[in-house]
Amino acid sequence: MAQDSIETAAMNEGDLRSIMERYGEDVWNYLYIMTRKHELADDLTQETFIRAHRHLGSYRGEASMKTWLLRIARNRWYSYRRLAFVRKVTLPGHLPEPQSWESAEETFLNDELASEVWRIVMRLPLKYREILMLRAHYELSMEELAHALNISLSAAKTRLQRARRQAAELWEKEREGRG
Amino acid sequence: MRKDSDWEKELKQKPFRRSSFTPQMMRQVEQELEKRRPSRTSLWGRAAGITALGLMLIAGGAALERSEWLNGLGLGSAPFAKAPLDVEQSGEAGTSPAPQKPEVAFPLKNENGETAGSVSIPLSVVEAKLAIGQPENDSIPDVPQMTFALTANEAQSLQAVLMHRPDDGTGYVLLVPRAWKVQQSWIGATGSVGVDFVNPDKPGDPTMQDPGSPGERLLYRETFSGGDVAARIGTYFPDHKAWAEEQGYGVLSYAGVQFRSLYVNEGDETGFSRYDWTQQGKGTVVSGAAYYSQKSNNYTFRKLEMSLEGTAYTQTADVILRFFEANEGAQKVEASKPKPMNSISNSQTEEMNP
Repeated sequence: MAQDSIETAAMNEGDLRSIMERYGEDVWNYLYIMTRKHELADDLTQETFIRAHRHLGSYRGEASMKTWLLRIARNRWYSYRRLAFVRKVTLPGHLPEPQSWESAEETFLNDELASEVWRIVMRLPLKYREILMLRAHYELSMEELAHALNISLSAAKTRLQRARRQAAELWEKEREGRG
Repeated sequence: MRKDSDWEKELKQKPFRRSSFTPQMMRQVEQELEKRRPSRTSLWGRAAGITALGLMLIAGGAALERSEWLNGLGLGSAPFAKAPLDVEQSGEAGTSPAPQKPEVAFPLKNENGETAGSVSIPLSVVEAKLAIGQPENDSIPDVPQMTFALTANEAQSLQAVLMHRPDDGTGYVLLVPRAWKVQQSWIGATGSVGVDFVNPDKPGDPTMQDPGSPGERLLYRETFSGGDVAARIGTYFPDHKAWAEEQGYGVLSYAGVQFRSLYVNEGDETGFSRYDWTQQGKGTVVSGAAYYSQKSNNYTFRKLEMSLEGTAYTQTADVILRFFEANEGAQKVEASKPKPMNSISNSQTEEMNP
C-alpha cells in the first residue's frame, strides 16, 4: 500500500508514535481475540511495538505494515503460550485467582463487543477465530494468510472453510434460539 | 467454497466499540524503549567489565568463595529461576569456618522507637530473568545505607534480598522472612517486575491445583501497563473502583478483604493501602500492601502480598509491609557506575556470571 511505504523510513520517536496510533487498535484487537484476556492483550500489544521498533530494519515492505505487525503480534502470543506452559508446570503459583477475573472479561465483552457475530467468533477454537479474523476483518489474501500462519495455501483454504462452517453453524443456532 | 455470507460481512466492522490501546500504553512503549537504549557509558563499562572478568577467571581469583555463595542459587538456563536460595548460616564446629555471608545494616531501635546503633541481617542477591532482551549490566549494585529502623527481635526474623536487573543494572531491596526461599524472579516484556518467595516448611500445593492450599508465600509485583495499573487501582482502592470501571478495565472484588491505612495524596496522584484478606474459619490468610502513582513520569502499581497459614509470621509480615510503605514499594537501588578495569572487585562482578 502506498501509505505503508512511508513507514519504511527510519523509525524515530515520531514515526513509532504515528504507527502505534494507526495500528495499535488493530494489533490490540487481534491479540484480544487470540488471548481473550484484557491485560495480556495490553502487555503483548506493547511488546509487539517494542519488537517492531527494534526490527524495522528487517521490514522489506513485501507485506503491508499491518500484516507485518500482526505477524509480530502472533509470534509474541505463541512465545507467551510456550513460556506460560513452562511456568505452569514447573513453578508454584501464589494466591489463587478469584472467579471474578473471568467475570471481569465477561463484563468487558458484554459492554464492548460491537455485534453478535463477533460474539460467535469469540466462541470458536483459537485457530478458527484467528483465520476468520485475519481473512474477514483484516482482509489478508489467501497467500498472506498462509504466510502469516506458516501453513501451506491448501491448508489455509481448508482451515478457513472449516472455520466458516463452524461459525455458520453457531450463527444458525443463535438465530434459531432467538427465533 | 461459499463466498462471504451475510454474517461474515459483519466481521469487516471493528470487533469492539472503543479502542483499548490507549495513549498511556503508547507512552509505556516509548518509556520502555528509552530505558533500554544503551548509553555510551554503559557500553564502555560493559566492555571493561567483560575484559576484567575474563582476566580474573584465568587467574582463578576468588572462585572458591564465589561458588560457595552461588551454590544455593542454582540459576540455570531455565526461563525462570527455579532453585531455592539457601541462606543457611555457618559451618559445623571443628571445621573451617564458613565464608561470611553478606549482610546489610539497619538502624537499631528499641521498643520505644528510639534508635541507637545498628543491627545487621543477611543479604542475598537474586538475578531477575529477562522475558525479552539481553543483559546489559552485570554489575551488582551497591545497597545504599538503610534508614528503616528495626528492633533486634524484628531483625532476627528477617533477611534482605537484592533483586538485580541485568538489563539496566538497577536493583530492588525487599525484606523477606529469613527462612523463606526464592521461587522465581523476572522482568516482563513491558518492564513489569515480579519475584516470589515461599516458606519451605509450608510450600502448599506446588501445582496450584488446590486453591485451598496456597502455602505460605510472599510475592512482589510492579507493573507499568496502563490497563493493568488502572484495574489494580480500582481493585485495591475502593474509592477509585468507579473511575477504573469507567476506563473500561475489569476490577476485581475479593470477598472478605479489609482495607486499612488507606490514603492518597492531594490530587490522587499517589496512593497507599494495607489490606488483610480473611477467610471464614481460617482467619487472615493474606496480608498485603499496594502503592500506585499516576504521575506522568512514574505511572506504576506495586504490590507486596503474603499468604499465611496461622499467626507465626504476623509480626514479620507487618515489618515487611511497613518497609514497603516507607519505600513506596521495594527499595529501588541505582545501578553501579562502571568501574575502571583494575579496581573491579571479585565479589561483585563474578557472582552473577552464569
